[in-house]
Amino acid sequence: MSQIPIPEDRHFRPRLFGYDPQKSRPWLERAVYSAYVFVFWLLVITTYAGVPALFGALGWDSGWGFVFMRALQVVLLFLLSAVLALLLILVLRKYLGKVQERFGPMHYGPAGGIQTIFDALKLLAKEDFVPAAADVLTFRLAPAVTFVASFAMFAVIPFASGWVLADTNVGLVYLIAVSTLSTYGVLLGGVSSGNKWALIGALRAGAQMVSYEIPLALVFLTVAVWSGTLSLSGIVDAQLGLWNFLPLALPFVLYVIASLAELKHIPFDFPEAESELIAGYNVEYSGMSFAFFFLAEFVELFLLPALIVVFFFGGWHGPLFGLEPGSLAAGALESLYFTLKTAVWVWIFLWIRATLPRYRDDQLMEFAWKAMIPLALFGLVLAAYMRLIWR
Amino acid sequence: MSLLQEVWQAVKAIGTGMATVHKRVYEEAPTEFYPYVKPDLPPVSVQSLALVENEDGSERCIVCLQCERACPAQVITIERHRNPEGKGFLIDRFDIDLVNCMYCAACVEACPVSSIVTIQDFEMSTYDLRTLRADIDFLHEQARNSRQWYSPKFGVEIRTEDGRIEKAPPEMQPGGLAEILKPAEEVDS
Repeated sequence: MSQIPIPEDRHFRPRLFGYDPQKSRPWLERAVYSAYVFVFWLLVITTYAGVPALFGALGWDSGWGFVFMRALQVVLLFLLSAVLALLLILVLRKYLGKVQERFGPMHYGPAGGIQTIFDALKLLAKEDFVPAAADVLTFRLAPAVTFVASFAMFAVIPFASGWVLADTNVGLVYLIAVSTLSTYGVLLGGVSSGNKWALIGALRAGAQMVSYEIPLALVFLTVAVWSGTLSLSGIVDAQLGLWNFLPLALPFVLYVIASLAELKHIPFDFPEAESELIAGYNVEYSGMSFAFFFLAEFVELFLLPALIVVFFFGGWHGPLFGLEPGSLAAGALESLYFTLKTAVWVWIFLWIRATLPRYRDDQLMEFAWKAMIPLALFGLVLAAYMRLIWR
Repeated sequence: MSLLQEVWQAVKAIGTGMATVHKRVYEEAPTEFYPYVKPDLPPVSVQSLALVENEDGSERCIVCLQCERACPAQVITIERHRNPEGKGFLIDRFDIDLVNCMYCAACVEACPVSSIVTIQDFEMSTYDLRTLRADIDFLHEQARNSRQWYSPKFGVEIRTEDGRIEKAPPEMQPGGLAEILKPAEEVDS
């Protein structure tokens, strides 16, 4: 018997791309995150100050020019939400890895910093598959509905004083309307997939929405009563002296719980419970359709903490170091304060996600109807009473 | 238990849980970087088999067929002929089918001259199973590539930098031999 030669690559070593995994370098991770946040911040400045300044200089800030300016801003916001999703997925994976005593992604880029870009490229290259049992039109429509409904919330988010796409006086009502719509995308996607797990996930999403939307709306109402306005910029302006989380402590806690449910986030991730429903409503989706569901989820993971900051933590307020309010530098600093406050709240949401187990959906419904709605009503009455007495 | 107590207990439990989770962030991950860093294996770890030659390149094996008889999976095939000049036997064929081998090391225990030994090279993965039908050249190569090996008769042996084969110091031997030998040395001195 003659021996067949051993191939050369028997001792195969994957490439490391310049990263030494044995060395723990937390500063490198922080530098990567800071770079993403810096890109995000630059995009915010370009969207809300750069583009209007450019169009103003060209004299195109009325009529069709104004429409084109808004369209350009929306395109920039789409870019911004893509950067946001890349950053948040990376941070989520690294943070969950740390909590579970392992490393997250670490092979591509410094400290795994461009892993999510490769993930996005993979999703782009993947086949967008439609199951035979699916209702094609609805199946195609659902990711778009989900993403657009989440993305539309950007319109009323004030990043700094005056840095908002549509400073309407009914911002809160708009928010309730739009945030409820994203559940329709989930419902449509789940029902049209022709899959049992997707159907159950969609029905759970519907049942969940019926429970948490009412306390959420009541908390919005409480904030509106306390601030005396429905405009988000007005709410932030009203918190100049005292941030709302102190007088409105009870609605604040209820809002955090309800926004966890709206995010479909642990402990309330019933529509996509991995261990029960595989991935729930998006189980049949692949390629870019799946990516849009994902994008919507992570845009909401930014927007709901951003709303916490707007409603309860003084929005963009912070020390301005003598800068003239309304100038570009002041606006940039204010948007940085807003971004950092939001980052802290995103981290708290991830912390909750890393800690808590999943509840049952009937437990959430019982909690929402028997505890949260009465407490939200009590908070509303209390806020109205305090408003009468002290203001 | 009143409702308020229940609520307080729930809040306390969530707080405790979140504090515990946050402490975990600062703990060192026990991950082993295997493909880049080889793990530090114990001296007696039956990862693969090898056939040791003497320092001068002559065969250590005396072709007594003890390993062939001891093998429960019957994967060892040996053919031999009588040495025409002098006593003993010479090897015609020494094959071990490492695919069907179950690495029980019964052959290593049976070997009277510690010729067939266990080595620490565990990276046997291959795209072609036929590469694991080891012949005598492959088994010699395995021994030449390894820095240390083990057999119950001689304990751990090491190959030094200049190619000599020596018995390893007691610290490298298995079974706490260093601890057993230490008091005896102290008594002697």
